[in-house]
Amino acid sequence: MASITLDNVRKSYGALEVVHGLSLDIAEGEFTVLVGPSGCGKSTLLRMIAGLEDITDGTVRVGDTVVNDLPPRKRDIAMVFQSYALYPHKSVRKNMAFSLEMAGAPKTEIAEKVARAAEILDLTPLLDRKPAALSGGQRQRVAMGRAIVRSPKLFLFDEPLSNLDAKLRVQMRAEIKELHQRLRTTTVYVTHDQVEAMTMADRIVVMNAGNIEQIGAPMELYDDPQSRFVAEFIGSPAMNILDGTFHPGGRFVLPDGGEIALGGAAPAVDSPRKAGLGVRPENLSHEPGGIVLGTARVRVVEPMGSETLMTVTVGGRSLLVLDRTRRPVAVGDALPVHAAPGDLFFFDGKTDRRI
Amino acid sequence: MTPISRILCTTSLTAALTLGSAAQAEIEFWTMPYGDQIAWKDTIDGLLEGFTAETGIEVTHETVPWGNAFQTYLTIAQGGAAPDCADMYWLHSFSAIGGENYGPLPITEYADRLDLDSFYEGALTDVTYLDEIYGIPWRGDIRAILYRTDAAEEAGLSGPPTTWDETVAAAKAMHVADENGNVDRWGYAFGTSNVVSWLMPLYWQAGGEFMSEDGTTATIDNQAMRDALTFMHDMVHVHRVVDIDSFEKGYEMLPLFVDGQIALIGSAEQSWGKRLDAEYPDAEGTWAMAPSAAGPEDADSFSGAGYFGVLRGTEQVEECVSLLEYLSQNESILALSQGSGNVATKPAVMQSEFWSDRPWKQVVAVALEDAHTSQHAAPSWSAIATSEPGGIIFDLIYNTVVLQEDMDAEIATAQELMQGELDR
Amino acid sequence: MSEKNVFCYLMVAPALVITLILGIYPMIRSMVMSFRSYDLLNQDKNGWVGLDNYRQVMADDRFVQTINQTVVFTFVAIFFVVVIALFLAQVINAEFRGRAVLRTLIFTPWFVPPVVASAIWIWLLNANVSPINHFLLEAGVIERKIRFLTDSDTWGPFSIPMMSIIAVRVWNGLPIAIVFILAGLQSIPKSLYEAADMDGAGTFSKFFHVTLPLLRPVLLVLLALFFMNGFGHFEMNYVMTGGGPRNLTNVLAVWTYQEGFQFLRFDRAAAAGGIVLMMTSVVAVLYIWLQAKDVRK
Repeated sequence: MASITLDNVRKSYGALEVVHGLSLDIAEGEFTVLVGPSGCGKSTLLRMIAGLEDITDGTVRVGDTVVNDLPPRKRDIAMVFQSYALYPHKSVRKNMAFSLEMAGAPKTEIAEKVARAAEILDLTPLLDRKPAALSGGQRQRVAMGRAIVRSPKLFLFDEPLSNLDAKLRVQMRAEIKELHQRLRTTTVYVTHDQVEAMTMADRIVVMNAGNIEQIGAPMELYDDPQSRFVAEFIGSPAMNILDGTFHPGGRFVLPDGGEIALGGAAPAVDSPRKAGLGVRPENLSHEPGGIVLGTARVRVVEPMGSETLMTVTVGGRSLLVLDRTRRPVAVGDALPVHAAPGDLFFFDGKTDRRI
Repeated sequence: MTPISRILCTTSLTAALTLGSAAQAEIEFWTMPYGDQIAWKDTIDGLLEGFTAETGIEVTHETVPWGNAFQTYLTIAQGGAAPDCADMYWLHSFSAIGGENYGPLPITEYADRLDLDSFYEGALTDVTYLDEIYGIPWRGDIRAILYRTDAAEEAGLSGPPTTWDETVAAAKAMHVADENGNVDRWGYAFGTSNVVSWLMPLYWQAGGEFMSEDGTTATIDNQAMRDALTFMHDMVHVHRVVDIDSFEKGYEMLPLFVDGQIALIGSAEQSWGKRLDAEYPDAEGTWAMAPSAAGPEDADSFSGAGYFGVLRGTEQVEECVSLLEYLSQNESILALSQGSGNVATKPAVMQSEFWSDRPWKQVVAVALEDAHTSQHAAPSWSAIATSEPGGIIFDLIYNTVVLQEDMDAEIATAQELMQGELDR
Repeated sequence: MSEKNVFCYLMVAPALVITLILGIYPMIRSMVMSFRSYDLLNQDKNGWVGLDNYRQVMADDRFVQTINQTVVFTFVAIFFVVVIALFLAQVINAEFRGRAVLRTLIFTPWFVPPVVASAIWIWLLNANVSPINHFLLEAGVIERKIRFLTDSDTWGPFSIPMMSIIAVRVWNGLPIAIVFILAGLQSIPKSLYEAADMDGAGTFSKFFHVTLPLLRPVLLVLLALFFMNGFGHFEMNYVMTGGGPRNLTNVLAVWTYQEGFQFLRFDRAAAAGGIVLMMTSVVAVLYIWLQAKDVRK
């Protein structure tokens, strides 16, 4: 078990910088998820920790040791790849034993550790099969088994569930989380799926274009996004954001001229200030009370069982509403849209930071 | 068949037959190329034009590359596609293989048309088999000494050697090597071309013959063979003037000679004189030819030949004989000799100006007087004399000269094997 | 027969006919010839002799030596080609400056037909004029010129001329091997190497546990081709040394050629051909069996 410290870590490919001076502290035993859209640098960061990419600048520490110049095998880290990367010609047993063989461990010890890992992951009946004879989920488990036999200080996961179907993904998510609770190994997990991030992480690191947007516990990010990007990224369906201008007097003016009276809920401004007004679909309601955002016309109704997702237009803008009241709605209906003042988020028009 | 097709068929068939019978006589004639291919073709075409003008017989000429020649005639002797007449060699072997049905055709009944008396006697053995005449000999390949005059001068020699002993002395004088045994100039090389052809003139010069005249008895177990092999052996191991690697395949002697790394070649093909003139004009003045040195018995030189003959299966024997008649004339033989660079098979032609304008050519003409044909009356001679490991004569030479095995035992084995081959 | 089938047969027919006429038929004729006495010079004596020809050739010491040498030549040459190609393929698979130049250099021997290669190398290996000898002498590495193609000293089954010809064969065969292996290398996913890295494998371990096993299919094909070609190889040995010195570089194909076309003993040549056929059949059967084994798994 070890902590990880990243200090001003940079990565450049020639003249192109893809990771811009990131600093991050991960505590021992913590399950940290790096999440962000494609190309944000999360995989690159993970691979730098693993030792598969050179670190252009800054330091990476595992525990107290600076590992910048150490090759992967000396960092005592195990990694689970997106494509599993199992050795196709070796049996499951041999796949899991390989790292221990490389380390020169005695045969009995290897057999023991492999048996134990297989038990934990429910792989015992499959030990003598080759990867080609396994299903996707089984292969994933073998990849994890390969990682845990070594009892390393650190687990790294590189989008391990992307190749699985939706149902299997849900199942594996729970298994991975359970495994972590059992082994308590420090884990860094990379994904582009915010649902995975939310459900599995102790802490989430939201990344965008090579920068860290925000770090925090899942609910922290949900309740208190510090930037527009985080607000739109976390939570599904995504937060609605209306662009407009704040005017003195608590007025929010929309581009088409419409106005929303915010009263005291609005930030105080001396002069007109461009901004984004955000509110989550689940916090919009048709019941009276709170701030009135306008009268909406229902365009699309998607019943999802316990809740209904509606696309409505207010003042020319589309909003998503997640309604749990089971109120009967039809396309074309005109309904008022309300939100509680505490459920409103304001983002500066220029910096996209939370006001 | 529809009525129209039937009419068309009959018409074209009749036309073809009529045209065919109205066509002039035409014969197919194959030769190998000699020297420059294009120049050779011009020479032949020129001769053939003259022939057609005189007799009205058309001749189509095709060239058979040397690389294919053996295979081609072997195939013909086994029933393959053959021309009417051709430029051939190894009469005895191909006749034996072909038998009654294929291969060379005897034309003894036309012999008086071919003016055979005007040819060198030795050359005629190349067109005679089992007392039948098969054509006219047209090219000779005589071998003589080829040596570096600059090396001779350096060594203080007054002239080329004329006996075996003089050869040994000359070779030793012209040999240059350092203490480690790295040689700058080899004093002697037995000959150009193949290994078996090196032994043959030496054996004859020692007085030996390879087989009886009728080709049924092998005659190589005698003193002459021992003399010849001892001479070769000593040149390599006692006097140490011969590069033992020259016995191996791939040894390129001409560049080494031109480069001055070989001083004297005992039995060099006369065509080398032509090549040196043509390809290495800068070497002019550094080399000369000389008649073969005399052994214990005589100074016989190696001589090979080729002939023009008729093939079995042709229906135009008359026309072919006419062609041979035409080609046997002195002017034709001279033209062929000039075109190919080979020596001519008639004394009259060898005395012409063409063969006396260069010193080496004069030597060649002289050497022809002592020519000993390399043809032998046995069909299996080509197999016996094959210059590859496994060949009887080749193994005999290689084992005694290179491997220094017991000479008596090797000769006895060779005699036995050769007799076995002759009995085939 | 449906139209589609007729069309298919028609398309395949030309190639099939050519193979039958130029390949199968001569092979069968030759096999029949090997069981008959066939002396061109004495055709009355030709007739069925069963295994006599085979017995005759196997009793010939030179022939047995030739078989041994054919096998040695083939195995040694293939060993070096594969080992060197494995190394060079990795080298040119990596990214570095001047890679294109190196690639061109490595592939050059491919454009040289074996006969031309032999002609070039004869000159390069001629004891008297070899630039290699010259260079080694100047550098003081050797005192006497090396007789690459004519030195008849032997160490067990090996000799300098044999090693020289093997070297030329390897040189000529490298490009094909490298192309095959390169193709195989490029189909190995990079993530496997990364996983091996994480598992603590060093360069050699990665080679033995990732590269080699995944190259197995490619290597199998390569080896099968090389062995079948190797047992029947003719050009280099014939052109460069004709089988000498002292039969040290003789191989079955050269022996067969000489026996048939120089000594005119087609029956013995056919027997030798039959033996080559048996040897290559073993390789072919082995290869097919190994392939089938993979499929069955």
